[in-house]
Amino acid sequence: MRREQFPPSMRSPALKAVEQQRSTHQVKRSMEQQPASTLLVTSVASQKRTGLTANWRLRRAPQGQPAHTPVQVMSEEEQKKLAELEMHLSRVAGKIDSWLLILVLALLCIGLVMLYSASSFLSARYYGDASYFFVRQLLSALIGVVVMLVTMRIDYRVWCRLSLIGMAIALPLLVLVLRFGTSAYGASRWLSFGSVFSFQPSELIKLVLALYIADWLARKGNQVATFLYGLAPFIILVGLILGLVLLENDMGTAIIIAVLALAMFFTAGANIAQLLLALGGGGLVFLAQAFRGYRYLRLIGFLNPFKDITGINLQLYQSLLALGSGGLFGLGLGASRQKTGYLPLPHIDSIFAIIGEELGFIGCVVIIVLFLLLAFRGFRLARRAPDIYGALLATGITTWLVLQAMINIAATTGSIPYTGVPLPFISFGGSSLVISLAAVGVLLNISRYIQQPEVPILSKQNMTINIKKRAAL
Amino acid sequence: MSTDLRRARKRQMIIFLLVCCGMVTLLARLYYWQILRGQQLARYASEEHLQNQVLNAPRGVIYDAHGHLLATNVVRDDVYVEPVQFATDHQYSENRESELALLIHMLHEVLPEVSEDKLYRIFNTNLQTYRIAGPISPQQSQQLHQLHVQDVFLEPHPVRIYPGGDLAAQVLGYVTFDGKGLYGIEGQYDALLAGKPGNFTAETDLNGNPLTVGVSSGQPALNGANLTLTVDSNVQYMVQEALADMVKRVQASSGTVIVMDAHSGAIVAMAGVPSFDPNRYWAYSDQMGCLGDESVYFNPALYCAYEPGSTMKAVTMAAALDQGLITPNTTLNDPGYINFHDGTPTVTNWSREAYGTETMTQVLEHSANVGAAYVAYNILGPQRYYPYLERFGFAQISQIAGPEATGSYRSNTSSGWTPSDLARQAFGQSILATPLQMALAYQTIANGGVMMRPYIVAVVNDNGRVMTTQPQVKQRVISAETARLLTDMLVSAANYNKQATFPGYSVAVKTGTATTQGLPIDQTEASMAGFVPASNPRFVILVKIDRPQTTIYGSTAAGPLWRSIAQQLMLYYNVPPDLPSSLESTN
Repeated sequence: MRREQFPPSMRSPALKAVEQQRSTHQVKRSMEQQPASTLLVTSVASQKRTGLTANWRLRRAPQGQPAHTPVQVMSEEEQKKLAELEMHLSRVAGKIDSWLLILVLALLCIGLVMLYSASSFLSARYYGDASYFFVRQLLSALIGVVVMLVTMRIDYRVWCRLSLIGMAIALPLLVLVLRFGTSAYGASRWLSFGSVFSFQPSELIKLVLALYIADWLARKGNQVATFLYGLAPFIILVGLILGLVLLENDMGTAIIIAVLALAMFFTAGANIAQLLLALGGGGLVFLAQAFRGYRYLRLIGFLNPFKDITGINLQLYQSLLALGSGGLFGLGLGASRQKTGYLPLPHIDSIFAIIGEELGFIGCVVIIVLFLLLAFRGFRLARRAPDIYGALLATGITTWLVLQAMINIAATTGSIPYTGVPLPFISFGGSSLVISLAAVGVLLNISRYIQQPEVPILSKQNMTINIKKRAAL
Repeated sequence: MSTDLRRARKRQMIIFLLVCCGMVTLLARLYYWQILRGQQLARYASEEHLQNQVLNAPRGVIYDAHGHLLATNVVRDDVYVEPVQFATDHQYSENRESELALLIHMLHEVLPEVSEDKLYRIFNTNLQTYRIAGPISPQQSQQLHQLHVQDVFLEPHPVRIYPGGDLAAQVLGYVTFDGKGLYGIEGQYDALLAGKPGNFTAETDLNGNPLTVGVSSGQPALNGANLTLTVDSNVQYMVQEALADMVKRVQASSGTVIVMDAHSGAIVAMAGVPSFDPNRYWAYSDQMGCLGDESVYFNPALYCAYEPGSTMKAVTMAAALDQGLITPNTTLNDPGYINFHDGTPTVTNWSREAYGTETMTQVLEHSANVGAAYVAYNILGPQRYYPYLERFGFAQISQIAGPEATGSYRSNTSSGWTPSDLARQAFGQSILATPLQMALAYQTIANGGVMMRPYIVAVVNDNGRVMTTQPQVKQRVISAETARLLTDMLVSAANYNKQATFPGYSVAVKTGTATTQGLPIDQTEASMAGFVPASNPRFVILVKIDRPQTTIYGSTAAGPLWRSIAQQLMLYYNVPPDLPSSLESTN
C-alpha cells in the first residue's frame, strides 16, 4: 500500500503526506455512509468469545433492518498499521470542549472562594495573615491554568512517546520521597526544595501513570485479555507503584491509582473473569494487611462515628457536625464555626465539610453535580475519542478526578473509612492542583479531535432499534 | 475503527454508570446527615462551640486617707500543662520521649521551683490540664512565651498585692488564692470589694476566643468598690515601727497601739505586733499574736481582749463624778488596803503603800486601787456603777474592721456576780475589754462626754456611687462638765509621774498595769491610755505592751512609747502647742 511509503521518520514531505492520509481517510469515511448498524454487525461478527463468556449470546442485529453486508476494506493487520501511522501524523485540531473547560473553571473558582473561607482562620492564627493559604493556592491555580493551556495545545499522542520518560522521572522521585520526604499528618509525602517550594511526587505519579498505562494498554491490543501478556505484567507494574505509595502511608493515593489502573485495564478489554479473580486476590491481600493488629480499628471506626470522637473518629465526627450544622441552606459563606480549630485540616481533607457547613445541602449538591457533569463530559470524550489511546487516557483521567472527589466526599460523610485525599480543584495543595489542571488540559486536547459517535446513545435510530427489540421480546 | 476502540467505548459507559451510582449514594448520605440528622448534629455542634465565660470583677482597691494604695491587684500568669493533648500530639512521633524530656527541661529552666520529677509524673497522667505553677513573675511569663512550646499555656489570674508589705496588715487582712477576703477590711467588706462577676456566653473557637459570627450574650462584671480608709499610712508606719521597736526593747511578747481622732472617732492608726505580710500570708499560718493565744492574722486592737487594769479607774471616777457623788477634791482615807463587811477579799494598792488622806485627783495620780474600790463599792454601788459600764460601751462590739472580741464583765444582773467583782472592776480587774473599747472610753472623755461611733472606712466608691462616712454620735455618756473635771484629773495624773508629758502640750493619761489571776505578779499587760492636747483634744492614743520583761509597769513600759507617738503626732499634724510656756521654760 502507498501509505507504507511514509514511515514515521519521514517528516519532510509532511504536508503532502497529510493530504494523502486525509484523502484515504475520506475514502474510508465515505464507504461508511450508513455506518451505524453496519459496523456494529461487523464488530460482533469479528468478535470471538473465549473462556467464561464463550457461550454467551451474541448480540444480533434486529430483524427487519436493511441487511448490511460487512464492508471489509482493510485487513486487521492493515488497520493496526494505519492506526499506528496515524499516531505520528499531525492533525488539524478542532475546538475544545468548552463545557468541560467551564465546569473545571467553575470548580476552580468555587474552590478558591471556599479555600479562602476555610483557611483564613488558620492562616491568621498561625501565619498572621488571613490570606496566607489563599495566596499560595491562587498562585498554584495560575500556574495550573498556564500548564493547562499548554497541555491543551499539545497533541495528546505526543504523550505516548513521552510517558516512559515520565515514568523514568516520577518513579525515582517516589523512591526519593521515602528517603528524604518531609512528613505531615502521619504520612511522608513531600519533597522539599528549600522552604519555599515543596512537591508531592504521588500527585505526579497519577498523571504519569494514566499516560503510561494508556500507551501500554493501547499497544497491547487484544493481548490485554490474556493472562501472560495482559494481566500479569499489568499487576506487576501497578503493584510496584502501589507498593511505593503505600510505603508512604498514603492510602488515599494508593486507592486512586489502583482504581484508575483498574478502570483503564477494564476499558482496554480485560478478561472479566481474570479481572474478577485478580480483584478478589488483591482484596484478600488488602484485608489480611488491614486487619492485622489495631489498624482495623481505624478502618471500621467510621461505622460508628459517634464513638471515640476524640480519637479515631475526631475528624469524621467534626466533619459530620459541620455538615449537620449546615442543614439545607448553610450558615452562610464565611460563617463556619468548625473551621476555627474544631475540625482538623479544614482547608485540605475536610474542605467539603466546610462547604456543607457554610453553603448547606444545596451547596454540596452543586459541587456533586459539577463533578457529575465533569464525569459526563469526560466519559463522553472517552467515547468519542478517535483512537484507543485517547479513549483510555480520557477514561483514566476522568476516573481519577471524579473518583478522588468521590473518595473525599465519601470520607467526609462517613461512607468509607477515613482517607486523606484532597478534593480536586478545591482543596489546598499546589501539586495536586497543578497536576489536576494539567490532566484537564490533556482531556481538553483530546476533545479537539473527537469524532461524532457512530451511534449516539440517544439517537432516534438507536432508540427505535431498542424499542423494537423490546417489543419483539 | 478497531474492535478495541469499540469495546473501550462500551466499557467506559459501565464506569460512568458506576460513577453515577456512587454520586447518587453520596447525595443520599449528605441528605441523611444534613437534612435528616441536621438538627441533632447542629445541637451537638453548638454545645461544643458555646462557651460560658465568667468575667472576673476586679477587686476594689484600698486607699489610705491620702489616697495612697494600701491594697491593689496585678495580673500574674498561672502555668498549665495539657498531658492528654501532649500524648495526642505525639502519638505518631517516634522520639516522643526525647521531645518530652526537652519540654520538661525547658519548663524546669524557667520554673526552677517545679522539679523535673514532678513534671514527668504530671505528663504521664490522664489529666486534661494541670496547674504546675503560679502566680509567676512577669519575667517568667515572658520567658515561657518566648519558648513557643505546645501543650503548655498561661492563664492570667488577678493577684492581690499590698505595696506597703506589712503596713496596716492586721487592719487590712488578706485575700486567698481564689479571691476570698479574710480578716480585717478584706474580710468584713469582702462582698463589697469583690464586686459581682459577670458572664459572657458566646460561640468560640477551639481555644475559647469568641468568634465574630454567631450569638453572644452576657452580663458585664460589676467592679468591686474602692475603699478609702481613715488610716494615715505615714502615722501608721511611724506607730507600727515604734511599737515593734518598743516590744523588742522591753522584750514583750506582743503589743497594740490605737490612734484615734478624738472628735470624730476615726481610726488614724492601728498597729499590732507581731504582724504579718499579706503578700505572703501563707508563710505566717503557724504564727501567733496576742500573747500567743490567737493567730497573727487577727487585729489585736479589736480581737485581743485584756483586763485593762488601772486605765479603768478613769471610768469609775467618771461614773461617780457624773452623778455628783464626788468632786475631784472629795477626800478619803487610804491605809493601803480596804476591807469589806460582806466577805469580799481585801483590796490593796499595787505598791502596798498607804497614802493616808487623799483627794480623788490624787487617787488617779497614785493609781490607788483602794481609792477606786472605795468609790465603786462604798460611794457608787452596783445600781449606779453598771449603767455607766454599759454606756461606756464595754462588752459591745464596734464592727469596724473584721473579727472582733466582745469583751465581758459580770454585772449585778448576771449570774455568779459577787460584790468582789464590783470592787475589782473599779480598778480594771475581773473585766475583759478590747483595746478599742478602752480607747473609746477615753475618746468619750476627750470629746466632752460624747461617745462617737468609731470608723475606719472613710469613703466607699461603689462604681461611682460614693458614700462618705460622716462621724456619728453614738451617745452622750457623761456630761461635758464631768468630762472637763475628769480631764483635769487625768492631766494631774500625767503631770504626777511625768512618763507621758512632753514640752509644749498638756496631756491627759492614765497608766495601767494589769496582772492576770493565776500568773506570777510580774507577768503584766502594761498600758497607757489618754489624749493630747488635753485642753483641746485631737488624738486619743492607747498603747498596750503585753508581758514586758525589762520593766513591767504601764508607766515605764508603755509610757515612753505613748509619749513619743503623741509628740510625733503633734509635729506631723502641726498642732499648735497649748502650753507654749513649758517650751520656754525648757529653753
